[in-house]
Amino acid sequence: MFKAKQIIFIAGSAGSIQTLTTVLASVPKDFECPIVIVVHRKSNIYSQLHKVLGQYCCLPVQEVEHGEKMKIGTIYLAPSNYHLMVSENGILELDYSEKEMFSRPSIDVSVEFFARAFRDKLTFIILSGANSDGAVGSKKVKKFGGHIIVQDPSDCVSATMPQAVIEANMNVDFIVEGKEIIKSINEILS
Amino acid sequence: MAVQIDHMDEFTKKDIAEFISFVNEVYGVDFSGYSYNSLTRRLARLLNLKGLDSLYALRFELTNGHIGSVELINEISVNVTEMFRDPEVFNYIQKDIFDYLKTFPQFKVWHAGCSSGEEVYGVAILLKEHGILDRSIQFGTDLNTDVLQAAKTGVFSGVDVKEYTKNYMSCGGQYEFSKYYSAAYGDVIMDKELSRNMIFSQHDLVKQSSFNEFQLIFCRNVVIYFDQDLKERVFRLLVDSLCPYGYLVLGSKESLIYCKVFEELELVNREHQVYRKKGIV
Repeated sequence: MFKAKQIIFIAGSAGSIQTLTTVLASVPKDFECPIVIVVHRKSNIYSQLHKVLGQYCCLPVQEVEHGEKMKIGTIYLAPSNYHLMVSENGILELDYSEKEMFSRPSIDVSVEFFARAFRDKLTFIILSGANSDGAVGSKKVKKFGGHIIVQDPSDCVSATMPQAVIEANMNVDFIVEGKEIIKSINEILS
Repeated sequence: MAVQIDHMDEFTKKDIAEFISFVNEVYGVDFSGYSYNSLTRRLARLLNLKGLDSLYALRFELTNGHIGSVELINEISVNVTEMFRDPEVFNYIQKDIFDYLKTFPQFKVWHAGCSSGEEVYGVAILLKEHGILDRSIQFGTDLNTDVLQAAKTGVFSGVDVKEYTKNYMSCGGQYEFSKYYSAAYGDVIMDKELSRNMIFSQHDLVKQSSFNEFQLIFCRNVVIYFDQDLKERVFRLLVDSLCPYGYLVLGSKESLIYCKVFEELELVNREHQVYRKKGIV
């Protein structure tokens, strides 16, 4: 069983990178949780997104390699053109199957695994995006007792994605502007 | 189509183990070495596709013949593939591996788990551009017979052409991708010359053994579905099928450096997951 205070799962699509860098920049060096990032990405394009994000963050940001085990204080970025899965023991796996909602990585696919594996230890954060990938998965987060932080749709470049999560759930835990997300995370952790 | 993910909450390891055992006993195909997460996902998808609500119902449909065994196996295995997937890898291969291939009057390439063959045709194009297609024999093998049939025809959906054209240019293709196919009714038909030296056949990496010796083996995004034991066995099979100094190319997010068989290889390029078999010690 993988043990951590919380597993922080951040997802987004169009317009989310800016907010992502804001959140990562506010993560302290002694942060006690692993962070997993799943954002929609173009495939077959040589991308150094993990290096770009790494410039904003004092913790290491790396692309997931199939079979690696999550570590506290490391930030994992789902590579493009794979779905990201996880087991209860914290081992990350990749899958190259059909796209879901035209996306690979798909947020719904990942959240399904993270919610089942980590239950009330999962914090799901949804950022700006132009489709509703993540809405169905977010219901699983709630079903298994996890927390949901939504970036306020009015604060987003594309409101569709966070709005869909709000509409899919009776209660989300926080709806906040991008710069307040770290406060919400800290509230959950305390 | 979104996977109806509610099924996944109901599968226990025991349910899946029982189903897989049934499939092996009755149809002789062994999925027991596949990772639990992968199987969960594939089976949930299959249930959704067939409008069934349990593994028990699926088993019933198999026993009464409404779902054929070939269809079952073809749906459980993952068949997604692209031409020049991760173009930078194919760029590297042309620069670093083709020189090695050119030292042989004849060489053999194996695409293990080739699905519908896009990767095989892509490599054929690059071999042709380097003037060594004639010296090659490319073997494409897979568990799934439907996709192998498709591979033999050399016909692909026109929907992917735009993406493949981009990939072809990114990997350093020297001409125009359109040179290699003709378009008809929304499909593309690959130039027959490319497939002259191709052999597609069924091969089960789990159960069958090595069938030849190769200078270059591709096995990209195949073993990600396998658990550690099966992975080690398959890598053993692949390395046994490599001639000394032959190359093995995996998917760019896979690795075999923690596998026993790594002792017999050198990691030639970490980013592109290219390995080379050591010479006879």
